[in-house]
Amino acid sequence: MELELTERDGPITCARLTGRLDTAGADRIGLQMTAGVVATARPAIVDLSGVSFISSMGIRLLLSCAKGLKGKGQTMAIFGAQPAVQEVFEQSGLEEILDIVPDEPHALARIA
Amino acid sequence: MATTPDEVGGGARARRPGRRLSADALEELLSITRHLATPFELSALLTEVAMAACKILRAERGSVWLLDVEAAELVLEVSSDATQVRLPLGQGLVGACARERRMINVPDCYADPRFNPLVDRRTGLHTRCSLTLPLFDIAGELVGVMQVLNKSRGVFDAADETLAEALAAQCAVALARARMTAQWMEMTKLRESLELARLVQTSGLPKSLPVLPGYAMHATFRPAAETGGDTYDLALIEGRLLVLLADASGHGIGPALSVMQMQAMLRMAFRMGADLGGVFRAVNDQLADTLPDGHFVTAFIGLLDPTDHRLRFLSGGQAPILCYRAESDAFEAFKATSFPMGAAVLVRERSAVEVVLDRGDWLVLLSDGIYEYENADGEAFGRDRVEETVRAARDEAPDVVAARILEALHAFAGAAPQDDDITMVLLRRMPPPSALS
Repeated sequence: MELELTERDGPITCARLTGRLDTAGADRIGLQMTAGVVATARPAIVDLSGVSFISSMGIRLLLSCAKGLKGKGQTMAIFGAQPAVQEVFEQSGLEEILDIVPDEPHALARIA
Repeated sequence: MATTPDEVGGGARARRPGRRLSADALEELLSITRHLATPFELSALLTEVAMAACKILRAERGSVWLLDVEAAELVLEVSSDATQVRLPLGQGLVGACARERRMINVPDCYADPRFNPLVDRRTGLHTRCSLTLPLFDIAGELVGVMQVLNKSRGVFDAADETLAEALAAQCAVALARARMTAQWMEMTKLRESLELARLVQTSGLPKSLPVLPGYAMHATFRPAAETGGDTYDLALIEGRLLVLLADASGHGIGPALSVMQMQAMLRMAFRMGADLGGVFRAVNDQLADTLPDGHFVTAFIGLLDPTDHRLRFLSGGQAPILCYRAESDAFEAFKATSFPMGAAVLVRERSAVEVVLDRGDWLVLLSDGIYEYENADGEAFGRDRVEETVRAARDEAPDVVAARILEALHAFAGAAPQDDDITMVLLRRMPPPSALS
């Protein structure tokens, strides 16, 4: 599991995740992602196109980042989910509380 | 700690030709070594070390810095005055000592370009001279740096260096012991916490399953080595069957307590005649209020009326919900009716999904410990294998079906370890007697 954090104009945070977002993956990037996404208190987009699998611990990480940012008056949009990951979001009712959009332009529009 | 004079000095690294310890110094060092053998707690030990260094070397201040490998910093752990200071590895005399892994004796600090006056400014001390030496563990890895400042008269000499190295060698042994003790205590605490969590988790499970004419049911609970937060309930309450499968995110005592609290709230609420939608929302919002950020409980909560065979349910993030239909010999799958419970407040009450169980139909609720169980190739067990197994065993009793699922799971996963709880709740409306073979 890899996490790449970049800063874009705005400024906004872009978090790009690659690998399996399971318990081990979430453990690996959890602190770095929370620090990079929530602590900066900027709007954020999260690119999941490189994530092949998500478990409940992965969901917990996304939820806690989204919640943390919301607490700071900012939004976080998730985009690029692969079909298997998108299926998990739909099946478990997460679309209601996470901003999940198909691609980067939609994500940027959502946090604008 | 038993120490012979030959060992004092920590071997070849510390001993130099012509620099033997004097009898007085040796006695002093041995007395300090005995002191170092007592404390098992790291900060108490380091305080002893710093005090001992000051005493034995006639220094004004003594400090111990520990290496934080991940942050690549040296952290001032113990000093008679300064509060915690962090220095990037390589900065100052302490940093230089860590980098070069050798003792640095500086008679005039302000004349040395490596000296960092920042710490002086924070502590208000004027550093004249210093003796800084690395602390190695038994394996020879650097664990920290010890420093003494301002000898009471003059500067630190060769005899001081020998003494300091002998002390550092003793200190390293004591440090290694303190770290091992801390690790052992951490493991013991963790194990106790896990055992307590397991106890909490299993004590909440029903002791026996209700008997409901026309139905057969079974529940399996197999906790993972590091306990997860699964629970289930099957209970007859006011003529209806409560069916619950819940999985709290995370491991340990916290999740176990959340699901147990939830289960208790549900039983009480339904016993008092509360309606499903209202209870679901109340429990969700209560969890949203009490769970730490990012934590949640996925839960299927259903009530079966055995008189008309209507099962009404709500599911917070628990999916898939599988229903095997005998007549069509096919599965009907339902997704969650809302997000995982406690992840947010429910803005509006949800209406329950209603399913009528016909004769021979099955309700199959499995925790993600089954669906997500991976084999050595990282492939998950998945829904198709569950459906296939249940369908093949559909005419068996629920406990047999559960056993078949576990068999299939183990055949699939091989030696791959179970890292999440496995929970199954199976409910079958019995087929008419004529259909039974």
